[in-house]
Amino acid sequence: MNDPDPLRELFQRQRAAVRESAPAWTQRYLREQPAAPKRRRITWVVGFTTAAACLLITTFILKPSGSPSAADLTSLPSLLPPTATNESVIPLTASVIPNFESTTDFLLPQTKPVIQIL
Amino acid sequence: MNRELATTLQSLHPDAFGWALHCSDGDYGRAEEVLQNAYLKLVRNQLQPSGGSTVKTWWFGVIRFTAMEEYRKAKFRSSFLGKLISQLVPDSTAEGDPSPSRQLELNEEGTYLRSLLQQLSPRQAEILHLVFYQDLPLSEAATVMQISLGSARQHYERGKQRLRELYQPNNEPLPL
Repeated sequence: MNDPDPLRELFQRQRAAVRESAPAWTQRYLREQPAAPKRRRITWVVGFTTAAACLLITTFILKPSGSPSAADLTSLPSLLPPTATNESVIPLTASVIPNFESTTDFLLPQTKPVIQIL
Repeated sequence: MNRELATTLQSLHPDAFGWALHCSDGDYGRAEEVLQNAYLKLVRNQLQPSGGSTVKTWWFGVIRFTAMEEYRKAKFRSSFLGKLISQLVPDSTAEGDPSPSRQLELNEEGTYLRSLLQQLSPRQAEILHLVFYQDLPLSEAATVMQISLGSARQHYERGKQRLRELYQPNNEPLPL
C-alpha cells in the first residue's frame, strides 16, 4: 500500500498544507476549563418560558368548546327564533306517538325475526 | 489527564485537525470547534482511552463522533427554531477570535481534492482519507469508522477505483 501513487501523493501534499495552517497546539486545550455553557442555559430558559406562555394562553384565553360560560347560557334564549317558544315545543313522549307504546319502542322498534326455525 | 496522553495528543494534533477538517466537510471554523469540543470531553473526564485500540485510532473515533454531534447542532441552528433562538440569544461562540489562517480555503489543490471526494460516498471518502492521508492501516481505519474489516476493504477498493477515474493529475482542477 506504500508504493508511489499519485493519489497518495495528492493526499500527502494536502496533509502538508493542512499541517501548516492547523491551529497551533496550546496547553490551554487540556488545562483551561471553558466558561459555563451559557447559551445552552438560556435555550432552556427560553423553552420553558414559551411552554408556560402556551399553557396560560390555552387555559385562560382560549376556552374549551365543551364548557360554555354563564353569559353564553343566559343569552341562549334570545338566539332562538320567535316561534320556537317553550309552549310550542311538544315533548316527544308515548302519548303523542300512538304507534308506540312507550319511549323504549321508539328506540327499539319491534320487527319480526327474519330467520324462522323449521 | 496524564502527561503521557497529553504528549501523544500534542503530537497527533496537526493530523487530528486534518481529520476534523475532513469530518467537517472542509469547513475550517467547524473543524476547530470539533477539535476543541473533543479536547473538552477529555478535560471533563468524559472519555478514557479504550484498551483495545491505539491512542490514534481511539482519538480519531472521538473526533468523528464529535463531528457528527456538531453537524446535528449546525442542522438545528439552521432550522426555524434554531434561528429564532439565535435571534433572541446572540451566539457568543461566533464572536471569538478569527481563525488563525484561511490559507486552506484558498488552496486550489485542496479544493480540487474535496470536490473529488464529494463525488464518492461518505464512507469511501473517509476510508481514503484515513489510509492515504493519515497512513492508517485498513484494520485501524475500520476501527475508527466502526465497521468491519471486510466492509472497510470493500469501501477502500471501490473508492480508490472511482477516485482514480476522476483524478486528472495533468489537467487543471475541475470547476466546482
